[in-house]
Amino acid sequence: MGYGIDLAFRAPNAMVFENKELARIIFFHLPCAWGSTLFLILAPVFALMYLRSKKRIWDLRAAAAMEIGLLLGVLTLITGMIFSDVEWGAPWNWDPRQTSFLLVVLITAAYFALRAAFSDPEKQASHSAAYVLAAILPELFLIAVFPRMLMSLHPDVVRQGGFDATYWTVIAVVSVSLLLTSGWMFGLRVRAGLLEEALENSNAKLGSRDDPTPSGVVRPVSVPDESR
Amino acid sequence: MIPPLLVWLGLFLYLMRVDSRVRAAEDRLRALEGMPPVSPYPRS
Repeated sequence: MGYGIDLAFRAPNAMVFENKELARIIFFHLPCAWGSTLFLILAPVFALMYLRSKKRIWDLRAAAAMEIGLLLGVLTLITGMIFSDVEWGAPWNWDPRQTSFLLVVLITAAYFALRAAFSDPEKQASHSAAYVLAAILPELFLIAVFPRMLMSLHPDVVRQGGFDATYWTVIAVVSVSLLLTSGWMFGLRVRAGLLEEALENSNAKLGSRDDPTPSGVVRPVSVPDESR
Repeated sequence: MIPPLLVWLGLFLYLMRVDSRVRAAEDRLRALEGMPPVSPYPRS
């Protein structure tokens, strides 16, 4: 990570930008956007695996992928607004790509509202999986197709060839470090889900024992007033 | 200097949050069931 940040400051200016120094935010903006898209594509794969196998681990993986996709999506929007401010004069221009990515982030955020609406784990997992599968096509349309249908301020640097090899090297280094960090976070998030589920199961077992008062639980008792 | 740190700060805060969830769940599980200190659940 540190190496990526260091490279980002030492890379030569890209001539395609107005403000060549501050436009270096692109080194972090592009990998965040790619990472977010990758996790949003992985989530329906996990959701499909859940619907086929009904194993809870796939639902946890889908939720983790959506969560990291949302996090990277929000970081993409923030870094994009910084880029927009220095290049186009305002942080938000209702540019087609900016707007479509905002919609993608909102669709992803709605997934968590849906998950929170169900208390039954089975229902939560199956409805969430269906939502992820239904959302992927609109998301891909908003990411890859819609912005190219309209005039956009966004530079299509990949097609126009606006970056030299050094610029692409820095983007590759930051992308790899971001991918490794995201993979680590993904594993940790799934582990948190597994542990929390095991904890809920333990609590449920304690509650269903013959002993009506599980150890560690103190029930309030009424104490008669002896002064009367 | 701030923009790149913003990205890593966002990731770091998220990482801290998930890590604290893992630790809290591990501690509560151990307290409830008398599990050994190392969690039996494999890293995915």
